[in-house]
Amino acid sequence: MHSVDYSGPVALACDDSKLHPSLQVVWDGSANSNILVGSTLNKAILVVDPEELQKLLIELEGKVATKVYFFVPAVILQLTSTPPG
Amino acid sequence: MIVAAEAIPNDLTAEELYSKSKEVIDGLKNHGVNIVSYSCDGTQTERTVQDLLVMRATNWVTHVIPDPEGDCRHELRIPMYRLSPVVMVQDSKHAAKTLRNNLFSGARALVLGNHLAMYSYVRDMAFSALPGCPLYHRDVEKLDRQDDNAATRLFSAAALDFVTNQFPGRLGLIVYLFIMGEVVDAYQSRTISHLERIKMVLRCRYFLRLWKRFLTAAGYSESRQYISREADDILDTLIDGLIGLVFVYRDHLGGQRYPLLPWLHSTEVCEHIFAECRKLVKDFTHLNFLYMVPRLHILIRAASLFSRGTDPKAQAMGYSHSYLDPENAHIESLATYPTDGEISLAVGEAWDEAVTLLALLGIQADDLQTPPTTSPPDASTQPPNPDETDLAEYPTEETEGLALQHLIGIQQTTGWEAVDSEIQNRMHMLTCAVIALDMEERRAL
Repeated sequence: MHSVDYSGPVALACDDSKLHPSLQVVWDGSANSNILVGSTLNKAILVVDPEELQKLLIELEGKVATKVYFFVPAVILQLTSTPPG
Repeated sequence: MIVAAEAIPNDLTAEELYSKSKEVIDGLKNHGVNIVSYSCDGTQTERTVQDLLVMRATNWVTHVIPDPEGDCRHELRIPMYRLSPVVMVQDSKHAAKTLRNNLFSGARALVLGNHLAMYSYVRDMAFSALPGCPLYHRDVEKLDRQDDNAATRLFSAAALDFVTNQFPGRLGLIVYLFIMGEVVDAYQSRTISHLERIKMVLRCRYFLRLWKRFLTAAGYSESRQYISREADDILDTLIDGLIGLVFVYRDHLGGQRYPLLPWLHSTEVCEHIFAECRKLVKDFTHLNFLYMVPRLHILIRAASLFSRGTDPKAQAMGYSHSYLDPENAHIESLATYPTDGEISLAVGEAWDEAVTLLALLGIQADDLQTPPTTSPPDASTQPPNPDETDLAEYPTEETEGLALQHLIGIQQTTGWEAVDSEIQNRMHMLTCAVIALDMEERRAL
C-alpha cells in the first residue's frame, strides 16, 4: 500500500476454509532444519531426528489443523483508475 | 493480499478468534493501514467475535439516528481501534443465502399479516410455464443451499416482477422478496446513492420491528413464523454496518473524500482465494497452502486487473464472486454522502413505506402501537374463522347487510357444514330479505 502511496480506507475481510488435516515435514533453509507443519500451534516445530518426530506425532495428536483462517484487506483500488477525490 | 492465515482447529472459540482478530487489526493500524471495516460471514462464532470487538474497545464513536416512533433513538456505536473507527459488517451475499434458506425452511412458515411466504410459492415460480421467470428448476429441486447465484436470482428484480405479475395474490412472498432483496441491493448496487441505500436498510429495520410486533399481538410464535434469530442478527448488523460506513466515510477520514463502495466490504475476496486454492489443489493441506501463497497473490492480482468475476448463470456452483466487477459504478456519486438532515428525512420515508407495505398485508401499524391485546390484521381482509364467530358479539349498530356479508364470507370459506342450523336459518332469511328488497327496488325503477 505504501508502494502505491495509498493511505485511504481499507476493508478487512476474514473467513475460514477446510484443510485436509495432516502433519508434514519440510526442510526450512533459514532454520537449517526440518520443521513440522500442520498443527494448530501455529509455529515452526523443529524436528531433529526420526525419534523426535515419532514423539511429536504422538504429542500433537488432536492438535492437527482442520481449517485455515484468512485475514485479507480489500483495498479500494480496483476502481481508482480515477484517483479518489 | 493475505495478511494473516492461521491453521485452526474445528472447535476454535470466539475468545481465541477475538484475540487473533484484534492482533491483526492492531498490527495493520500500527503499520498505517486504515482499516475501516471488519467483515465476516454469519456463523455464531464470528458474530460473537464482532460483538466482542465492539464491547471491548476502549473508545467508541457514537451516531444517533432519530426514531420515527418518537422519543426513543437508535444509537449507533462504532468501536475505535488506534484512534479510528472500525465498522462491523456482515457479508451481504451470505445474508441473501440465509434469507433464502429461511424462506425454504420446512421448520417455519413466515406469516406476514394475512399472507404467507413459503417454499411452495417459489417452487411454483420455477416450474411455471409462463415466460420471464429467472429461476431454474435446480434452484428449488435438489437445491444447493450455499448457491450464491440462486440466492441472487431469487431476490432479483426479474423474480419480483415475475411473481408480481403472475401471482399477484401472493403478497407475503412479494413483500418478503422486496424487503430482503433491498437490503442485499443496498450493498451490491453500483449505482444508487448512499441516501437511497440508507432508506432501503431502514425500511427493512422498521418492517421487521412491526412484523415482530404483529406476531406478538396475534399470538404467533417467532420461532416458527418469523425469520431465524441468526438471520435477524445478521440483518441488524448489515443495517447498522451500512449506516456506520456512511458515517465513517463522511466524517472520520481526516477530511479526505473517498468513494464508499459497499460491495467491497464483504468476505468475497476470501471466497475468491478459497476458490483459487481449490483450483490448484482440490483438497489442500496446510503445507500445500503455504506453497500456494505466492501463486495466489499473482492469481488474485490478475483477476483484479481484468475485473474478472464468475459466471452469473451457473447453477448449484456455491460461491460466486462479483466484487471485482465495477459495472457502471459512478465514483463521484459514490463519494457523495447525505447530511444528518437528509438521513432524518429518509427515516420518515422509510417508516412510511414500511407501514404501507404492512397495510398491504392487512396489518395496521397504528393498531400495533397499542398493547398487544389489539387484533392487528384488518378484519375486512381476514377470512373469518367459524370457530371464533359468535353473532352475539356483533356490535348492535351493525346493519343486517354487513352481517349478511359476514355470513356469506363464512359460507364461501368453510361451506355450510361449519355453521349450526340456527345460523343457517338466519342466513336463509336474510338472503330472502335481500332478494325481496332488490326486487322491490327494481320494480320501483
